[in-house]
Amino acid sequence: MMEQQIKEGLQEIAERHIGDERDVWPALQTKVAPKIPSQPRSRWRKTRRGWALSALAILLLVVTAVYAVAPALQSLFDMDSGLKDVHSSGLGYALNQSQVVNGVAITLEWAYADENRIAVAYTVNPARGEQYEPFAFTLTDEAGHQFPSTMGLVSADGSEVNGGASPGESGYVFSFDSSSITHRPEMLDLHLEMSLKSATTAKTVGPVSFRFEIPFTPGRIAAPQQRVTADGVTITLEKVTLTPSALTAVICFTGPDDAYEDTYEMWLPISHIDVINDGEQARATLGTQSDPDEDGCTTNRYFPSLYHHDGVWRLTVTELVGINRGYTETGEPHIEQKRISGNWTFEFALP
Amino acid sequence: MKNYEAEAIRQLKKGDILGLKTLVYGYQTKALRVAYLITGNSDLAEECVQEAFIQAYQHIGRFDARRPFAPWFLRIVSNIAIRRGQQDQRYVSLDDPLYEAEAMLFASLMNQTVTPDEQVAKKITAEEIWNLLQKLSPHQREVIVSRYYLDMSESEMAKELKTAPGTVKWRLYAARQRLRTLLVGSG
Repeated sequence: MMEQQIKEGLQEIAERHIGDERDVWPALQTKVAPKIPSQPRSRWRKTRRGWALSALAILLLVVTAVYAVAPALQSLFDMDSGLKDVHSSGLGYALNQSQVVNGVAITLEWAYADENRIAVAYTVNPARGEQYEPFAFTLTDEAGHQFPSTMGLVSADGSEVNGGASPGESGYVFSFDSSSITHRPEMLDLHLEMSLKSATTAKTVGPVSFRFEIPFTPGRIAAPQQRVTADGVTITLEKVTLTPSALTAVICFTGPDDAYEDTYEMWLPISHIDVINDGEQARATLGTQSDPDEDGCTTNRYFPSLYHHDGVWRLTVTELVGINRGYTETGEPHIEQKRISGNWTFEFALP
Repeated sequence: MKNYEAEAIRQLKKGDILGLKTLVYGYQTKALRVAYLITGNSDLAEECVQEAFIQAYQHIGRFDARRPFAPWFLRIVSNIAIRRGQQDQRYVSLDDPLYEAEAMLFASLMNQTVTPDEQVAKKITAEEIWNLLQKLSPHQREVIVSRYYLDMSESEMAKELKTAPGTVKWRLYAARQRLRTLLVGSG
């Protein structure tokens, strides 16, 4: 009887303090479930000067020595194949800018920028082992343009991935969408600002601010604008951007809701990209994607980046997924999916 | 395993982030409640659950898809909640969490009653249970949550706690014996 009362009591307490409406996904997706905000798709303009700068930049970057980052950061690079390649090739830049605010040392250790993303890596070391987490972080350029964050990897003290870090040290690698940079600058003048809050108290630190300048690595871009129709659905491959840190594609289509009894909140494409050269094939699989914008376009990010590959490139959409968020009969939230199989295949060349 | 859950795990293992989104919407409420019962702080519980989903995302390759996802994931949630909750030093530290946690909770509940009849008849309020839980360490709370909120059996707890089933059985038996003693003594 008492066991039953405890069960009911715990249930009542839990339901009273944590309602069904609590949703961790919006905050989570900025950390680990990468979400690329819908962006107006920029026009890419190819120039001879741009390619000359590109070649020079790549040459300079390749000879840069690999900078040994803090253990907490190395384990995070290992989880992101694009950044792992960038770092191991010496394509990033050691910054080592440190600030100590209220006993908390924040060190901006490393940064990198290309036509797909800007990545910054920093560590936080509190003086007395108390854990702090960043919030309200922004990255802007010299004109004040703010880059949307797309992915964050966190290595907190004591976590499984925090190999060999100092006690209390946390590592952070944040990525930002750089697709709005259309003029291919040689250098980027950036401003990173963030505040920190204690994991256990209401104490906050900051804001702290870092100014730094790093080279910008142009990408290999195709704008095929190809349209393929299958099963009554027309899909357009608008743009593919290949950089050392990532391979992205903008795919547009309108959901086939009219053909189904249910209408879905959103439709997303599941796709992969192959490159074929002399009969050998390499494949990048879908890692993350944005929600569709008002034109039904999603930005899709694939891993690995295949930056050093050449050949015939092929993007295949294998499935379309319609999604409705709802609740089960027992009140548990879940996602209802409608999946349509069928291949929509696009071939294109990357310069 | 539910069909949508199996599909979500398959997607996640292939790197399709839709899989994580499905799992978040399938398990976040349960996970938040477990983390809250262990930490006693709703904001901290949310941070724990976010971290747990991050770890699940990073280590999904190690997960055996033939097994149910919930126990594996809620174990990650519990471990993080214990670690984060341990920074709050208000609890009483005891050596044997499984034995002492259950014994303390029951004993405290028993001691609040007046007569044997009332002990049986008294309706324990959620607030009383919550107040008593606050006196336990996060690790001890996790034992109570596993047994009475997640309805885990002794063998399941032994597996999760990496302890021999016989040891769990003995500890629970000893705890209940002690409770009986307390009951008789108070009567």
